[in-house]
Amino acid sequence: MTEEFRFIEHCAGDINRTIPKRYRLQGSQCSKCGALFVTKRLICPECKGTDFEEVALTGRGKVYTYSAVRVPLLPVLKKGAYAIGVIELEEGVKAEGQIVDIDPDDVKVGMKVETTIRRAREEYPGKVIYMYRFKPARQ
Amino acid sequence: MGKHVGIIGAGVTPFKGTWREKTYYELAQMAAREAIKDAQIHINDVDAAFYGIYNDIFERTAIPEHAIHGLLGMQNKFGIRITNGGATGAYTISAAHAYLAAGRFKTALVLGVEKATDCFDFLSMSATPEVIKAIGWSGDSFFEQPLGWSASDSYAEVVLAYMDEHPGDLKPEITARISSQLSQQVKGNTYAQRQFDQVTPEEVINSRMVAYPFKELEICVYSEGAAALIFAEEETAKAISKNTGKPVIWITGVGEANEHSFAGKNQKVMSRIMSDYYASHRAYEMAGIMEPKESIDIVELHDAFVHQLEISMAEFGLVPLGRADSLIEEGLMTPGGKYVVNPCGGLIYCGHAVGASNIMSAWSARNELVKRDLKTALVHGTGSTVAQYTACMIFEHE
Repeated sequence: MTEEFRFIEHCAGDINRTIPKRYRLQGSQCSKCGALFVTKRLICPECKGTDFEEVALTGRGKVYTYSAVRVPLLPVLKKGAYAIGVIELEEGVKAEGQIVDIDPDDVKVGMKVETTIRRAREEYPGKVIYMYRFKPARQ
Repeated sequence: MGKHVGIIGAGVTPFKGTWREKTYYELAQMAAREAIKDAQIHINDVDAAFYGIYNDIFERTAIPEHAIHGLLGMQNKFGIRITNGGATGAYTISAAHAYLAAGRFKTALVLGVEKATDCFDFLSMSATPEVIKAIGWSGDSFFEQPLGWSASDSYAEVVLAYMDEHPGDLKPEITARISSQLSQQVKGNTYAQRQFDQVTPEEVINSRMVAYPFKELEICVYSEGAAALIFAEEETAKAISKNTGKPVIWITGVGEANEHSFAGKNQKVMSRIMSDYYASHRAYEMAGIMEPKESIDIVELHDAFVHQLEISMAEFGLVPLGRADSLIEEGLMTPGGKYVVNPCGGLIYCGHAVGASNIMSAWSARNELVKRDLKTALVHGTGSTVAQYTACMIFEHE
């Protein structure tokens, strides 16, 4: 096994585990009562269900609340201000994410948004993490 | 003494060298799901959650329990994380017991989880050095870490001092036989990391030396996995037991002790594991056990190293100090012997997913008490540098 392959093989698992949510905003739905969750769940707090189906969420919704971050935690994360918000999806559940392609001062509560994929960070050299972002919806 | 507290449900995930396809969130949920299914209750019936998670660097987050709480459906309820080195799981059991015994809650979830191998070392192109380094951060930052401190050499110091004090004990052929026996015992544990890793005493003796006197096959392996228990106070436990038809395993004794981490006068006695002595004897006292040799049937012991297993058994008062080899030489722990020691294969063969390990031991002790219809088990967790921390529990089958 080459060193490059060992690195990729090791790190692939680490990245892949969260790809369904990070790329496709994949959630879980209780097979018993139909309760929907943004994150992978194995125990339903609504009923006694312990079986779930993975469902792809539409990624479309509207801004429920947000804040403009003007002093980033990590300088490498982003230059300038960026908006982090809670989005109420069409399915009725809420997801957290950055709101991009818009000046943070122009974001409005209730504004329609949809998901897009963006490069989030490079964790190690060659290990790039991608993640969904919300951007203003095309009309 | 407080209220009686019993175990009414338990579950574990398989322990593996690495769980590539799961996050630690998911491992935690898997074990919790098994435990509530075992108790046949709803997560909404659980009043409080106690999380045993050892090392923030493993989980790559500083408060790893915060996400798990809501994902389990425990939002708006009590949740606390315990981290006490290798003894994290045992201390988590102890904490949950105290809250229930005090009458604060009727039911509690005790959940241990660990995910170690997301670390990666670019120089060696493997996870291991990074995991060892993450454990190395447990050493004291001023005097231990600069020495190149590791868990193995830290416990080796204690074992070597014991061997100086008791020459002739902890013979290499005996430690090898114990390791070999544990490798046979693990065959029945379908959740174990090394279920099919049976070794002969010769293979143990010929395995490479890691830190004298520990050979590779005498040391626990790091694992990823989770384990969960459901505790309930007496009345609730009895009601749930009536519903499930499974007996309650009562926690009748709990004891803890943390030693000094530095050697010397009024500090650590290097040839002893006094934390094991005090913790076990405090647990005996609480349980009303006068003669542990007569009372203890099963020992689920935190065997970080085989040599430490032998010393711990002596500190528990189950064999004489200086005669720990009698475990094998007098057949005390061999099949059909006086004590059933680590029927799950222990941490050396089932695996050591740190925060989950002692909870896995408790899961095994509970199952074995029921399966073998025995009365009393001792569950033990050790951790920190030089075997500094210990928590022990006495479980009794009703």
